[in-house]
Amino acid sequence: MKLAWKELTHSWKKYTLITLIVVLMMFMVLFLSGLVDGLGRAVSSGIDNMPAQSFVLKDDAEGLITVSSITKDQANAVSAQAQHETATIDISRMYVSKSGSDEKIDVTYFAIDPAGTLAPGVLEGSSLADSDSQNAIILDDDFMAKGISVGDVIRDSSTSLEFTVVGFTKDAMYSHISIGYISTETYANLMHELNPNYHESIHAIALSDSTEAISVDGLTVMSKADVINKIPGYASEQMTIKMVDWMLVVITAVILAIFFFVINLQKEKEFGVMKAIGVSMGRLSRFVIAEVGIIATSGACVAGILVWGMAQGLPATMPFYLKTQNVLVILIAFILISLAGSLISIIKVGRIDPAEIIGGDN
Amino acid sequence: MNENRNNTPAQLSAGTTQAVPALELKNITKSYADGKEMRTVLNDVSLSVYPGELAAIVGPSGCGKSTLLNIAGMMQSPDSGSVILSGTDTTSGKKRMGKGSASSTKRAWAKLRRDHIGFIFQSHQLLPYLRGEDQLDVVKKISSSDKEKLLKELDLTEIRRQYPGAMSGGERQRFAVARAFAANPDVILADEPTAALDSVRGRKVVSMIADEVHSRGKAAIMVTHDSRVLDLADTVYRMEDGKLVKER
Repeated sequence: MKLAWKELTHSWKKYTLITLIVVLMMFMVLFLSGLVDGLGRAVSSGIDNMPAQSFVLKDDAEGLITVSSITKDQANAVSAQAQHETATIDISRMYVSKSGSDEKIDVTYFAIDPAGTLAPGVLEGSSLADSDSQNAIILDDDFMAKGISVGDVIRDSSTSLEFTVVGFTKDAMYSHISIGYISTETYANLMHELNPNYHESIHAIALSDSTEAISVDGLTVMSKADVINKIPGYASEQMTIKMVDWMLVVITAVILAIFFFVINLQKEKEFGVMKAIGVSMGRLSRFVIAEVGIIATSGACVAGILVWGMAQGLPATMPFYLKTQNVLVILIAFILISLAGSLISIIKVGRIDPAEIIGGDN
Repeated sequence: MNENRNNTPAQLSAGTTQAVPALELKNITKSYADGKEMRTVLNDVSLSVYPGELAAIVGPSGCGKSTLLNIAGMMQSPDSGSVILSGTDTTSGKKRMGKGSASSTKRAWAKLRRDHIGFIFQSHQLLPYLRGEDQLDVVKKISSSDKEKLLKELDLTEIRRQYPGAMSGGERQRFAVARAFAANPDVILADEPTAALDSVRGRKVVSMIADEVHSRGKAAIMVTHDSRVLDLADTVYRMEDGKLVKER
């Protein structure tokens, strides 16, 4: 509304300061939201980024890929039933060292079919399928920050099996550990080194279509979201930080509502005059709502831009990830809660008696 | 043009050919609880103001002038009596602001004020964040030709772009006068419009109110205790102890 805009621009110093507070608070909220999603991604991105819709697991695995075990026969039954492409996946948490160094680096092996759908996109170097090195590995770009580059040889700490780094991918984390992609064949070699009695089994099978009806004895199908939720620590971590985040959204909106309540208390006489000269309560309400709305919206937008700008400059190792959808949900929720908070100001304005403006001799 | 100035309905019907009063207060009584006692602020007050008439009400402070203005201005309801605005009885059917209908009464009153009444307050009461010319659009959006005319008549054209903070007291009060007339009301109610001004500026403001009242054919009630401007009023009433007596 025009009147609201005129007041905001006339007292721009006061309202800029309030907007600044909103910007800072919302920046904090969005930053935290980025951390929630970043931490979530640090747990799940390896699974989340897969072009799979659901996973076939052993039915007593309780959704944990790492404890699931599928036999060759069961796997064959699954691929026979599936209408769309399937791909096997094995996940194993280990350590690697740079050659010539004893320092252990955490790694989660994702064993996949290099020609299958789960083969990772390559940021630098070549893909597993294109590489002719023996025991090739593709690493998450976090390893770059640890001084490993394409062509390096790294050693599995427990078996001394050596991998050749052929490429890097990005956003590949599982349960806070960076992923190294190897072929199922390399994985079998590794397992044999580790345990000579190893007999081949598969952790899970990824299905590329959510409508697949797979019915094999002893196996169950879980959606990708369920599998991610079952990753140890994921659900509780997400819940804790999300709760803090939403508390901050509400607190910011309440602070804004209180600011406006106090400001509108100071303007009691102005409102009284406007009521006296016949300005309707509807218009006064729109005036208050417009002021709150303008400040909440502009504060939210500036905070959004700032956080986005900062995200561009953050190092890759920082667990920070902005999901546009989450950011929008938070900003819109903030604006709506702020508008709801303006109601207390409106009620206050509604109670102002215009008769008090005249005289004062009774 | 102001030959027939009466405040009793009987004389009115006998002597005048003029139209109905713009504002008529009939037998208004209003009391307040003052501690344990009830204090009668207005005791059977009747007053009629016609189009083109500027009526001044004088009296000591505390005599009930403001209460009268609040009742005439649809901001308080009388205990008894009626307020007739442009021939319509506004008090019938809602004698008091009953609890159940308070908000609808308030809404109806706000509309009556918006459509029929222009207020001029003791101190200008302009909105600090609006330029002079924008003050005129607060009640209702008015046409630019009406605005030009009003600004010119009140000698405000040159300072129309200024904010109230940059104006002198007289200029502010003239904008307040312009705002009161802007929405083309039937009745102007002025509450001590010269209180914040020196005598020269006060007189200028009141003479401008008088000019506008006469040229636009509005009815106006001005509460004042500034006796130096009474000669500009068409009729003068004195209020004392809740009674209104016509002086001139």
